Amino acid sequence: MKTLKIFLALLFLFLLSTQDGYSWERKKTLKELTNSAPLIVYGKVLEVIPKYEEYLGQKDFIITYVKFSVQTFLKGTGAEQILTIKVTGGQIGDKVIGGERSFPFTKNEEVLLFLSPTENNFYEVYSISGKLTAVANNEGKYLDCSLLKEDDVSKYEPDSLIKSEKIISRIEDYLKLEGGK
Amino acid sequence: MFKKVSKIFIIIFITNLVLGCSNPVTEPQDTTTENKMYVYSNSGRTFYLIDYKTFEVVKEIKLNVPDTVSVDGMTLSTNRDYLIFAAQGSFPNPSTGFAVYNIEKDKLESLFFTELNYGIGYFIAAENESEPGLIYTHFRDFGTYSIDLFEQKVKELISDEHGFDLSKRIYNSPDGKWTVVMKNYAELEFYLSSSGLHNLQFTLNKNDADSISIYDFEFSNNNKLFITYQLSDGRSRDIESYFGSYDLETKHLYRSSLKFPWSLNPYYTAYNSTRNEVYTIGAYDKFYVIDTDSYEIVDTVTLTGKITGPSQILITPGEDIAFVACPNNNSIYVIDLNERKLKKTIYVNEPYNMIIP
Repeated sequence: MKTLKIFLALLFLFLLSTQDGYSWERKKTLKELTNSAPLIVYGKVLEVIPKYEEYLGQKDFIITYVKFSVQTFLKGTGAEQILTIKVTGGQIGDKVIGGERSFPFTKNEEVLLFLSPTENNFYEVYSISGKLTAVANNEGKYLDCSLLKEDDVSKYEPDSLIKSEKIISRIEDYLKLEGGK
Repeated sequence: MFKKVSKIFIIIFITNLVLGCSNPVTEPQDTTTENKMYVYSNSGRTFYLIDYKTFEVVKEIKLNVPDTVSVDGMTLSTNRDYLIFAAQGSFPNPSTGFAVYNIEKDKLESLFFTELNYGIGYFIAAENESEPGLIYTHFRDFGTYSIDLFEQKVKELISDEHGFDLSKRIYNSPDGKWTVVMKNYAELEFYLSSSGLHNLQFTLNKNDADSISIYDFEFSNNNKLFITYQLSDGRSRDIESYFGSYDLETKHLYRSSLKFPWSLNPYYTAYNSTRNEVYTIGAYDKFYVIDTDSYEIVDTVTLTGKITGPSQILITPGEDIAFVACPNNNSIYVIDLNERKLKKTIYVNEPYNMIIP
């Protein structure tokens, strides 16, 4: 029992010492996301629809369906301007089910999303770093990059809000190096 | 007490006035018009009827569908008498359905669901005169179907070719001869319209032979296909976009010397057969007038106040007015094609699809 406690304590300290904190899934840099996510889109949340569903054997799990209107395809193309994103977790009344990938979405929220396809025409957010929410103020539009892993060219601390043009321009540069859309 | 109430009232009044001015919406004037133009935000139950001659918003129309049904996309029926909206039922297996709005009767005529539980796909009227209710629809994970909206049933699985890496958009040529399938914004497959997407005649840019990604295209009245495009290998990315044309006889691509600023949003196009002009606009505020004989930009109209984003173009039947939709600032810009200048701005909520029946 004592050994188990020590093991858990060490594990906790180890996770805290990493840049990813205590996340089980590793954060990604903007470059990693851009190179590996099949679809990168900017647009607006139209509707957020949480539903009770069975998930991994658990009854009454909550799955949230997010209807999303694409304004710009930065990477990948789709025949559809309106996508449905499936998010594990969500909230119905007082019941909340959360997890690393339970991204909160709100109606009319503008976001930059890194997506991948999943079954039945749905999409899912590609990584725990795959949602950058837009924040507008008098000086323009910014993206909240707090979910991104930092790298040599991108620092998101102490201020995680970066001009959206800057982030989009970096994505463009990475895509240019990759070649093609 | 009275003074205090008056003050509060004045503050509320001024606040409303200021907020109203920052996001103005043109108020409906009348209940109908002969000059119908329908405008839709691409999602939701509300769309607008606008008079394309007076540029007034005639009315806001709400589709009377149950709360559990969501509605997206709008297209025109083969006989130009119905507006068709895609409808979907509840998740996790959203049934595929359609809302059919009768233009003459000015009401939702039917809402029905098929046996497919595929949600919403890209859809367009088949323009088959013998089956005027027929539409084509493509689903990313299931394939391409034809569905008869009047018989309210799925007619055929036309092709099970599908995949995340395969986007398909379907178009009709204005002369009714061709149905064109654009694959991945690159290949253009030409089917005889009468064949119901079965009789492939030829493919432009097959296997990306011309190394282009197509933004948009327009049929001319002299067997050309005008296109706006970027280079498919990404070399033009963040640099420039292009204009050219395919000769539909020789299938040869002519790359004109015209270049536009790079745009992530497509350079949407419209063709004016009377003037032999193509109009195009990308993400920014410049509306270009291209002479299709000389392949030169003969005019540029600046759309004051337009902010970055996608902008579809629609020209009137008389081909003297162009409408440019800018959903990002709730505006439709009205351009006088005779005077080459901005004539008016119409304000409606997030205009995206525009149709003149």
